Amino acid sequence: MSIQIENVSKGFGQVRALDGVSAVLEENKIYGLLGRNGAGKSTLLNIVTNRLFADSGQVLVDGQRVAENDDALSQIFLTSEKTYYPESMKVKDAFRWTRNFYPSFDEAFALRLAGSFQLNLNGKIRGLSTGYASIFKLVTALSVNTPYVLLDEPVLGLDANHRDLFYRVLLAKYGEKPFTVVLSTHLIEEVSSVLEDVVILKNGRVLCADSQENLLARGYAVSGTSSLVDSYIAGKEVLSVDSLGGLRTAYVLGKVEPGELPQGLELSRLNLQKLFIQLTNEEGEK
Amino acid sequence: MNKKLVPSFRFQLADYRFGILIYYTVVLSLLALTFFTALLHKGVVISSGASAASVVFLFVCGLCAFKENFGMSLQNGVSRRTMFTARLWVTVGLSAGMAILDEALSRFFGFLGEAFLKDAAVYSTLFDQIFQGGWSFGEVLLLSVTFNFVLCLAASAIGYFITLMFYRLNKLGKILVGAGVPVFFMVVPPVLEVLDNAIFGEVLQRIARRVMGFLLPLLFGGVPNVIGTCFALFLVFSLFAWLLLRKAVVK
Repeated sequence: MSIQIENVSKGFGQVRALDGVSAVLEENKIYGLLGRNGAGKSTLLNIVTNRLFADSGQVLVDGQRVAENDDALSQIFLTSEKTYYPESMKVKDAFRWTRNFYPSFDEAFALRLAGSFQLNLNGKIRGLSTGYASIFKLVTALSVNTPYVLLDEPVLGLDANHRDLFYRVLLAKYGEKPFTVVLSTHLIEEVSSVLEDVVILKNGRVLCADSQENLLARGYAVSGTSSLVDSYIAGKEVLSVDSLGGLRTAYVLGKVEPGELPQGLELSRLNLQKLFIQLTNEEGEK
Repeated sequence: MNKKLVPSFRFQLADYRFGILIYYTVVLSLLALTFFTALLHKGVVISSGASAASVVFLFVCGLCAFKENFGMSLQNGVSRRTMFTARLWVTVGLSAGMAILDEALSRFFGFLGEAFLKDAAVYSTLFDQIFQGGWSFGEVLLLSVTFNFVLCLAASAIGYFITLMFYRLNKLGKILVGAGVPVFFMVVPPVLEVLDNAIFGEVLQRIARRVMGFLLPLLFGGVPNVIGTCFALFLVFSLFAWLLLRKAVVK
């Protein structure tokens, strides 16, 4: 059971948005779909959900082609930056209609969750602020109970409290009954604690697709006094260095050999955001 | 059966609910107003508006029926094919329902007019006004409802096709079609007529008259011809709409 993306390409005029993208999104995993602006994340998610057509390649959901296939589409729910519900529709009516289209939609849960987020059920969709429009879509997505839930920029405009609530509800829901979640976001540091696997897109191609653990094992962080860190990282492939007063933390690619680390330096895990920045930087930005 | 078809049908039908409610409130009010005006002032009132207005109403509804439904369908995992199938059922159901309701309203007010006002108020249907024949009352009812039904079908399909065409066109295409088509019909025929008179010795006009002389009776020469023509228009514009919809994407 999985979403299989097979050699998908898509162009918009002269722009090649996706170029032979292949990836497998397995069941019951939380994925991070990461990429810089214009990397092709939204285009890919729109193709997976039949909102756009690929120029070539195909997407299979549990072995069925997704293009114009209601059965396959019933297994997926995507929320995008844009709201596709009618603007004049009330929030509670949107929930009711979603239940019509997805019988697995848990309306009681949606109403409870909307209450937790202080989402006005009688408000019209056109009247929702950016943050509350995101909340409306998140509540819908978390209540729909499809095997695959894709969230494109899910926390757009949400304050820190609501973002925290969203991550807690997502993990609770996932813990209760696992499902596949794809989080496409730029807030890498914030989501990294919930991600199991990561797919990074760069210029319309898959740069890497692996578990977060494997990705972060590509390097490490060392902290200590500036002089110690500087002498240690000399000649190593350094992703970046953070300084605070006389202390430094350096993010280094490669493996640390046993006994190699000098006294006074502290070893820690690599940071996903630092790795992402290094991997996706263009030549002039390095 | 496709499990998304019924929800899609219900959603698209619900989209018309308020429009129809308002529309029939207005139609009923106008019919009642004409009746009471005739009753109070003893003047002659002729009303045949209900069925013709319904055709215009469904055309406008067709124009407004695409964008929100499309977004909602894609958001909720409905394929374009299922959305379009549901749309066809909605069109057929609405057209049939409105044709029957319009006929019933016209006959009801016609009956009231005859009973209370003698000749002071005449409520006729569009069919009564266009066609006169030696049909029985039952035949007139059947033909009139069928006539209204296919007119509504055609109007709705044309409206839907136009809105889909504008959805698919880019900005330049929208300008070209939006301005170009009216300009074409305003400018080209008079220019052709002038050229025909000046250069071709009215040959073009003779050809046009001959073509029209053949086509008009064939398409509109009798009740079956009109019904067939309207139904063909419904099929043709629905086919064009599907060809546009099958590759439509979110914007």
